[in-house]
Amino acid sequence: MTKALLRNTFREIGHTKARFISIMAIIALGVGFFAGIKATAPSMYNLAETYYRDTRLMDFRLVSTAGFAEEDIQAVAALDGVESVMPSYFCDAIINSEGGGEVVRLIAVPKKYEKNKALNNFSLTEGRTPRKSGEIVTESAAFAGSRHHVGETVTFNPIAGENKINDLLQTTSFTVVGKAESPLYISYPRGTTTVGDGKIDEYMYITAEDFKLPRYTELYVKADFSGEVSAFSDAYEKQAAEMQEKLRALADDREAAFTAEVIPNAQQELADGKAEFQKKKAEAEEKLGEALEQLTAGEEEYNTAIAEAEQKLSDAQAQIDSGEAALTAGEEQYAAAIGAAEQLIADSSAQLADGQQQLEEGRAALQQQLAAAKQSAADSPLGDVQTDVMDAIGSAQLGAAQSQLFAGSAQLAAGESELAVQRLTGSAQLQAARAQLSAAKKQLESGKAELEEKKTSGAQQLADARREYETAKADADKQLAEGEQKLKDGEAALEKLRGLKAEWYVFDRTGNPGYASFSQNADRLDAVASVFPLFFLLVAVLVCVTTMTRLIEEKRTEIATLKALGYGNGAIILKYVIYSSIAAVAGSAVGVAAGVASLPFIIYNAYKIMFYIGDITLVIHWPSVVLGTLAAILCTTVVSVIVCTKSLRAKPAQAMRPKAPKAGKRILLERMTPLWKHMGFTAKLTARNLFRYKVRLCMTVIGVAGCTALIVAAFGLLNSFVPLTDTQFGEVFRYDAVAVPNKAGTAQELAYLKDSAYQTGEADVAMLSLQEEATLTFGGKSTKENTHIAVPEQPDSMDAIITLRTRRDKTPLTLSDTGVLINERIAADFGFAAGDTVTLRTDNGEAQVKVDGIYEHYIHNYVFMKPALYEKLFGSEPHYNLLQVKMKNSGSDAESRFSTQMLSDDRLVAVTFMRENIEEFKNMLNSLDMVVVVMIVCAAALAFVVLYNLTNINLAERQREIATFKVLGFFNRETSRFIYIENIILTLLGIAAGLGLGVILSGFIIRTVEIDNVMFGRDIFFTTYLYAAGLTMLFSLLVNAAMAVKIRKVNMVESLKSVE
Amino acid sequence: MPLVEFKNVYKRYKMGEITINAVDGISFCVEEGEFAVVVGASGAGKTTVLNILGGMDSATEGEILVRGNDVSRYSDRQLIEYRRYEIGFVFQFYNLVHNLTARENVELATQICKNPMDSDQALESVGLRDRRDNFPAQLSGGEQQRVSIARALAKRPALLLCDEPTGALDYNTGRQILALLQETCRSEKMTVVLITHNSAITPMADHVIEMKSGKIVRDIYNNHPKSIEEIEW
Repeated sequence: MTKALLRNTFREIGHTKARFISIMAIIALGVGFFAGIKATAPSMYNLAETYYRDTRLMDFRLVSTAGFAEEDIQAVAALDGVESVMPSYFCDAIINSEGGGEVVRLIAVPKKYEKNKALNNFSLTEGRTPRKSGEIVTESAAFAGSRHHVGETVTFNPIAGENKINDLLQTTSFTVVGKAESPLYISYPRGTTTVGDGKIDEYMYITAEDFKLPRYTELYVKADFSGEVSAFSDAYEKQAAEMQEKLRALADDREAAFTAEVIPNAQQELADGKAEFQKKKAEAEEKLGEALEQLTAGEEEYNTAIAEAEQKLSDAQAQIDSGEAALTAGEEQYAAAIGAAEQLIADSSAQLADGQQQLEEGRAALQQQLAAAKQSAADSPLGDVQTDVMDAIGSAQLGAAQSQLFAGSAQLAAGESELAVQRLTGSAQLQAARAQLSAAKKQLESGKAELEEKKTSGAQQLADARREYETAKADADKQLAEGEQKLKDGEAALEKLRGLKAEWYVFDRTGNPGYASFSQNADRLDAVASVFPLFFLLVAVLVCVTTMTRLIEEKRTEIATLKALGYGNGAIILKYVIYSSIAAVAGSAVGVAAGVASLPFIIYNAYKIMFYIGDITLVIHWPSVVLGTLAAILCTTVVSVIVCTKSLRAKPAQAMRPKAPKAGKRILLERMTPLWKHMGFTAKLTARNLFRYKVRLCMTVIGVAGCTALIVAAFGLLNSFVPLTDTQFGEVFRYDAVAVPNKAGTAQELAYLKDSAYQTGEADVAMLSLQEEATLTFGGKSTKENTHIAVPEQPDSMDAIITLRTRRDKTPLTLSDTGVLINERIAADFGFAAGDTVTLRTDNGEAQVKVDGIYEHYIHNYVFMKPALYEKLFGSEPHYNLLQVKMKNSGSDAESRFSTQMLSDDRLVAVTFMRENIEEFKNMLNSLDMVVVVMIVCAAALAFVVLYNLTNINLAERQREIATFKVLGFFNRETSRFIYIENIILTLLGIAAGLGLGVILSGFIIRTVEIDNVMFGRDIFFTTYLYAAGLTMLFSLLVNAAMAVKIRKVNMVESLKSVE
Repeated sequence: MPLVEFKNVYKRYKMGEITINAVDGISFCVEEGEFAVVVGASGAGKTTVLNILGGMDSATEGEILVRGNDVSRYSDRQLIEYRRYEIGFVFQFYNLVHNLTARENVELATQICKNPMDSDQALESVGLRDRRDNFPAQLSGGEQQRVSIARALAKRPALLLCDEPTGALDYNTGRQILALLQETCRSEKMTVVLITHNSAITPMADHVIEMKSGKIVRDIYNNHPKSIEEIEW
């Protein structure tokens, strides 16, 4: 390949922009579509994987009829391959009727168990996690999220199915503290329950402490492989299956253990309890006896003590009395003694005074004698001395007298002092005796007081002791009674346990509502991705064939010249190979970029109606990008090589001459002479032209058919939604409201429900109905969820409430006494028809029943039967659980009047209206419009590329012819018509083929995207065909309009000048 | 009044800075019923003159009067009508529609004019009645050219314009075609303007216009035009 040739190649692209772009565009469409859709499933898988890894979704959920004990949990945790376990609680409750009456699954907030990390962590979208009792987190999914707001209170109905809410929960009123998304519920189904109308409406989280359940109700298990292998991969499924087997085996062990250990254990426990009770009882009785003895002893002691004290006191009193007598005697003695002494003293004193007198008189006499003596003496010389002696003798005589006196006086004084002393001592003695007495008296008094006090306190103590004893006795009695009761309860519980068989259910992730449908949806999408692009690729090949053929034909002279110049065939072919590969690569690049950047998001946006697991991040599926691009390159280059080789076979000289125009040929039509004769001139020309270029005919028909088919499929998809709302809720389910009683019951028991519905004046027709979850089995296949047995109370007049009829010809179907009517979806899925026998299993048993007919129905599965047949099959009278009401007036006023009046009855749990559901559902479906828009845009692009390319080539090839028409004086309009009519006929052919193809395609797409347990409509409306045909025609006309400009520009002089 | 009158007609092409005068101010007349031949070497501008006259191309300057109407001022639509009702064209490469039989090719023309000749008659007049149901590919070059002439004649045009009608034909066949044209001119009183680079055939014309580099270098009338049998080249 020389530089010149290479340059020539690139210039060629510049000169043939329209053609190059048309190859590029169709390849971009095909590869883009392929890569884009192929990237969606991996992106979805990636999203789920990341989400599950982040939230630590469990791999298995174990539920047991008997709950789980620590031993069970330890046994599971010890199992090889178990990464972590998390026991948890759940229960189903109904929000009270003021709150809306929804059925709620309450789940314990995930919490780590011992060393195991928590599982199934929810992500908060608002608020916070419940931390204490009475706090709740509601779900944030669109339809439930709008019902509750943070800060509001959620109150549960006292009755939750067969249980009282107080037996399940510590409290019934909760404050909403946050909203969350749980990895357990990624889609809108919430599963089934035995509470309320049997369908869970939403889930909520409360703390584990708020559950009042003795044993764990569920056990989550995470396997160690789930972090390593991708969630939906085969490797995961294989390992999960193995693990499930192991768990199943363990479950069998534990079930046996429950019978072998738990019941004997309980029995043992009960026996132990009984023994202990007896022991305790004996102990208590003994203790009480002792206490009583002690009490009696105390009382006796008390009495003795009192008696003794009283004796002592009376003794003391006697002593005091004798003391007192002695004292009085003493006093008297004392007084007498004192009197005698005083007499004595007084006598002595009088003697003394006499003595004194005598003394004084003696003195005076003496002194006279003396004085006389002295006088006498004075006269004697010996007088002096005589006087002196006389003085001395007087004095001595006086002195002696005085001394005598003095001694008497002293004797008196001594007597007196003796008396004083005697008085003092006597008085002191008396005093002491008196004091002693009074002390004794006081002692006696205090003794008396003490005795009194002791008496009362003793009595008090005794009374207290008695009371204590009484209380203790009462307590003991009560405890004993309680113990007895407990033993009785224990016995009852044991009895119940004996009746209970532990049955473990091991659910893997597919048991989570929505888990399986997520991967199914992704897989289906992949299936769609594999079909569509194939079609585009086919068209791409056709476009490529025509375009390259034309290009090479036009370059015939050039090719010949190159050959003449000595270029090898390879080099010449290479030019066209390069040309087409560049178109293919560029187209693939543009297509991949556009497709991958837009399609996954557009498609996932539609899926987001159903799934709540966040937004996807793009994961490009490189194999499909490479595959798509390679396919595109291969197709274009192979086509180029083939076309080129054909052209190269000609000798240069021959090739340099213009190729003889394709000879005109008679077509089959001409042999039908009468018809041919009647055809107009243009028609004849067109007919011949159409058959002259067969490849082009095919290409156009296929392209246009594809366009039409896509539009049919797009609108068909929209059509298929219509029955989901309008037919399902307008023609099949015709009731407007559903009232749910708090307890299911027989027709008689629930008669009040119907009465109150009629009493509101709003109900036109009301009918009791039983809807019971059931599993239907046929030919080895079983339904998984959302299948119900439906028993209308009045089957003969149910038409106003529910109309059962066939879908195709709307033949009414009636319930017979021997068979059931089943909806179309299961019948189609399982492949049974009227006359076959299916197996139904409910909690009440299993039964086989004949299918009478298949009725038109779209959402979920219902097996309709008469009450009598139900009773025959399941052995019990149907317990109706809802009242379906057809209202007289529609609208929110009538609804609120109806619900207010109905809910004033406590026996009613909820009143719901279909209108709300329908609106909700319609909104959901509306977001699928985007998918329809994408399909129509693709269809338009396809139509444009194909028609434009074709017409362009047509024009180029027939330029001379067109110029001739012009020279002949044809108006532009007339000239264009020759081309148009061809296009229009081809378009019409394409449309006709496309409508047929569209029916098949839309059937395929609808079945592919159909959600589980929902049957989309199968009927394509007439308008869809009209739209498809009209839009395709419009695209065709638009292309024609674009071409008209080109036709006008055809230059006669240039075109006719000579051969190029 | 002459049927056709060119008055000082120019056709200029701008090639970048250079202006080429393909037709450089020519004036001539063609009378009704005349057999006119425009002769000149290739590139002399004769085809441009024919194209302008045929309403396929427009003059840059000057008047082209046909029956007194100025064709150069015609709108596109008028030009189409002019081609449709007044002009018949015969090309060097016939320009037949390959997907149509000989008769259908003639019908292609007859269906759009006001007073056409019967297509069979037109084919008869060129001696191809028997071949009328053949496709062009089944006809020889001369036969194809005769179909082309029949198609032009069938419209009963005022002017029959022939651009090197024998250019792609061998000598004898060319002669036959020229004879046919001359015959038609005479018998139908058809005005024919024929272009050729072969000056040998000018004696058969009533009127010879010789061009050279866009100009008319000779404009003469043959008082005694010869029949084709009398000419050899």
